[in-house]
Amino acid sequence: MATIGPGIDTAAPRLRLLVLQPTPFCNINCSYCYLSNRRSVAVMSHATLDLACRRVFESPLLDLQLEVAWHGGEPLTVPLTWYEEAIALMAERCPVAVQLKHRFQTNGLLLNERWVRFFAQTGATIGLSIDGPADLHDASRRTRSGRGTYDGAMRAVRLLQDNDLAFHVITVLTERALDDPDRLFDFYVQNGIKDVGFNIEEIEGAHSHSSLASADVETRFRRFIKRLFELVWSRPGLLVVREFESTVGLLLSNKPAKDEQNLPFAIVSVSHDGQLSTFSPELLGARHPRFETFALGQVVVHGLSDVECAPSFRAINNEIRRGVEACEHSCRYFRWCGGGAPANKLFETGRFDATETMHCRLTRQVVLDEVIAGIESRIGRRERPYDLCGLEAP
Amino acid sequence: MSTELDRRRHLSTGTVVVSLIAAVTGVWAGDALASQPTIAARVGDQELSARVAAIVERVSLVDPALVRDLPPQIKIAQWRN
Repeated sequence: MATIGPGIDTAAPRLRLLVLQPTPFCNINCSYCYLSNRRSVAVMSHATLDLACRRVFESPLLDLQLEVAWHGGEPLTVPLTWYEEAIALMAERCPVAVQLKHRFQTNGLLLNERWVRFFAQTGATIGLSIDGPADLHDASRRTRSGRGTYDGAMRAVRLLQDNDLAFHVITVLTERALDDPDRLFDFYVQNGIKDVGFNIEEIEGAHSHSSLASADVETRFRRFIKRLFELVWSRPGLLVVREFESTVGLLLSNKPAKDEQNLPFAIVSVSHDGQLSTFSPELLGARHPRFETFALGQVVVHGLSDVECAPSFRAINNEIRRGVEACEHSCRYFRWCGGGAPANKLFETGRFDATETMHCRLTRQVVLDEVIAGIESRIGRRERPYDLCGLEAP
Repeated sequence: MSTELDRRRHLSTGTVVVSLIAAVTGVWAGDALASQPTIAARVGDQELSARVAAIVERVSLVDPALVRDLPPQIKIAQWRN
């Protein structure tokens, strides 16, 4: 394979995440959604999936573990029987040495006992999209007729809990959530939600404005993270927050961070109609004046090595590399960040070779600052953890 | 000997979940560190890397497994829906 960037071992297996879009259709209409074609009811054919498997499984870049993220649209709008056949097909095509792990990210509205049994049988992990208490959740996550989806999402929580099926929650933080971290923390704990990741309302794709882009938001976001870290630290093990786990892991790691979104073919994305892409999954389906599309190949005709030779891939990869190098030379957080997410650079600044973005300031810099300061402030203290916040002992 | 495995086994039972944060809070709960000066006092406003190095040093003194047993790549990204 050709050279793809300085410091990258081109022969090293690194393909660990396959993002598959069974359909672009979503049964709800979140205000911050970045997908432009979420009304389309098209569904990936099993023939397309078969070709996608061939392209991925034949690649020398494939690692020994491959996460398969089923991500739409809303993946559960595709019939369960489709997935039963799809997962059997993937198992049949997968090399013996490679372990597949299936992941579903869903709004939960269509979850039922049959889906739960399927997840349990396949060992798939489930992420539910819930933005917190009803007023926060329903402010953004509504049906096309304008109804809130909170009750349906919480019904999914109960169904998974009643069946002892572990799950995580992804919460999208909008401006209105920033002033009440205690209420969000209490919401998770009181509802038995043990594992949460926070995404910010990003400027991406069809969503060209974020409520977090205003002037005072960074200060409020910093206060939110600081307080949430206090709450999580004070009751260890009660709530796992993805951002804190990742950050502490990065701080304690002997090696500098690498952002898989910057590494070509660490992530491969395939759309419902067989278009292939890499880098940030949000790029697939997006359009841009300079690059037109980020569909870099088609599974019917292109393998990953063909994609790597395409002029469009080279142009994008070169610009992303320049962006990462610029981050390395200019940013004191680089050691623990790895160069930022290409999609956020592009959609915020118009270029991949940009450096700082709202996304990186909030999700990398502020989080690193507050986790480091939070740990420092507690070193040497001997109080019981839950004394720090005036909470009752668990 | 208190090992990372022991701690994680404890953390995975009951209503408590596996957490690196929880493991690190355990480091600070240890009496062995009580007589040592705080990191904030040692490094003041030093550069970020020095502050992180001080944290790593402190953790590794108590539980080296937390420092060396980490995967080389840690994912931050996860896609919303």
